[in-house]
Amino acid sequence: MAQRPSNKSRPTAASKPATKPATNPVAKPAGRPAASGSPTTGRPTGKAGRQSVAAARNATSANSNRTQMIIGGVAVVLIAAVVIIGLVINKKNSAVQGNGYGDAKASTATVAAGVISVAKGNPPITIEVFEDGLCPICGGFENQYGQQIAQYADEGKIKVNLHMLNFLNDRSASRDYSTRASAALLAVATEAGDQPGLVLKFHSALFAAGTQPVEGAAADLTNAQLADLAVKTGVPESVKASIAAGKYVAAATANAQAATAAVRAATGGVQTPTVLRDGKPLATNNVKWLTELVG
Amino acid sequence: MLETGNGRPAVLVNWLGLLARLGLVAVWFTSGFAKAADPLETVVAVRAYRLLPEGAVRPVAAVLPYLEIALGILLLLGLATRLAAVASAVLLLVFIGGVISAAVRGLTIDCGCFGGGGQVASGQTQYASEILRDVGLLALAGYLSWRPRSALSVDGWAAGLSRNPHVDQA
Repeated sequence: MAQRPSNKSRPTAASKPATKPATNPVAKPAGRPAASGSPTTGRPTGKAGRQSVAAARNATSANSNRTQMIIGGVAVVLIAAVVIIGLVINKKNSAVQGNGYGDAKASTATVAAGVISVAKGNPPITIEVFEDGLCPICGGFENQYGQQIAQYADEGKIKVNLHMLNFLNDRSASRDYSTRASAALLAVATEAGDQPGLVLKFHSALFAAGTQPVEGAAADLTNAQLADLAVKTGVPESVKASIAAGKYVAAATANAQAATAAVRAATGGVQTPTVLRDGKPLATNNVKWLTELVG
Repeated sequence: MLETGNGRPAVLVNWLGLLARLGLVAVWFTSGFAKAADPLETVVAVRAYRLLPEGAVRPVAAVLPYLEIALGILLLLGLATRLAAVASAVLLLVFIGGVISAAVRGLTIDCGCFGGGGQVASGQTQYASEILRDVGLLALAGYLSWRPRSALSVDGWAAGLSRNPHVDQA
């Protein structure tokens, strides 16, 4: 028997026991070139046999090339589809809520037990918002929900209790930015809280992109700069001195301690932003959390 | 048992491949879905590396979770395994490079790999363990790039189909 081209050497008929059947053990479909099979491998033998094996191999490798291309194509389409769907979902989840409403216009603020309460009238729903002035995610949160919060507060639908923490102080250039930002807000709320919309407007200004200092950066806002920011958002000049002098820093420090304890008690950790309602955290990564809350 | 070209039993190769795939799937799904669930946090995490221009931060943070999920899906199915493995390896190299760059520049950040991210207190960085973990995953991806064959894969099923082109001829 001639050796057929293959990866492995195959035993020839001569080395096999003579009891092997001499007839073709493999049935061939009709229409193929007549080729008897090898008694050992069952493969087609002879020239016609070599041609049919080669043809089958070519067909197989052409098929498998085509298969690989199809698979590659499907994979690329799948990746593109997932990414596109993801971008659509992401855009929906990042959409600014209540966009176009602008700044708060009607709600007023009072301070009691270190908590700044902003409301108009007597709303049925109260939310406790825990933030840190340096927290970038709070900045994103304010950017996404600030207008909606302002609107619902103005419409008397929600009362917003602001709790300013300071656990990120050490990441600020001045080592106490969070406390001083909280003190500035406290000054505005205590001395000018009755001016409609002012506290929420200044609160949003503190977190505005470009205004809010960056964690770990070389600079943040001094008390004087915080005072200027306040005046720019409409805070009366009389409050400017209080902010620039850091009049409420001690109170802000105490408030931050209470706020940290409160958020830890409610959620087991200290993370901002956290929004509580009736002592329970709301799932604010649901973009419609406030829409659904107000109903 | 089928023999592969170098004599190693194909069954072992197939199951090793499956294990490598599943390891990468677990990581990509955990990481991808965690990032997708908190887009704000992901933006913060990407920005904290200070490697990208600001205009690129949001788009990258938007796409990254879904790229990871897509790779996870491909590896779960065993579809275009070599392509998915190479892409996984490239992505892991980018991540490893990012963490090394942050460490070298003295940034104190969380890698943001499974959600989270942004600044951490100095002394609380975990760069070494983050890099080690990613290197381990890179090894899995590298193995799969080299030997993409695995059990229970669409690739395997499709290869079986193309090996029997005349199956339907009577």
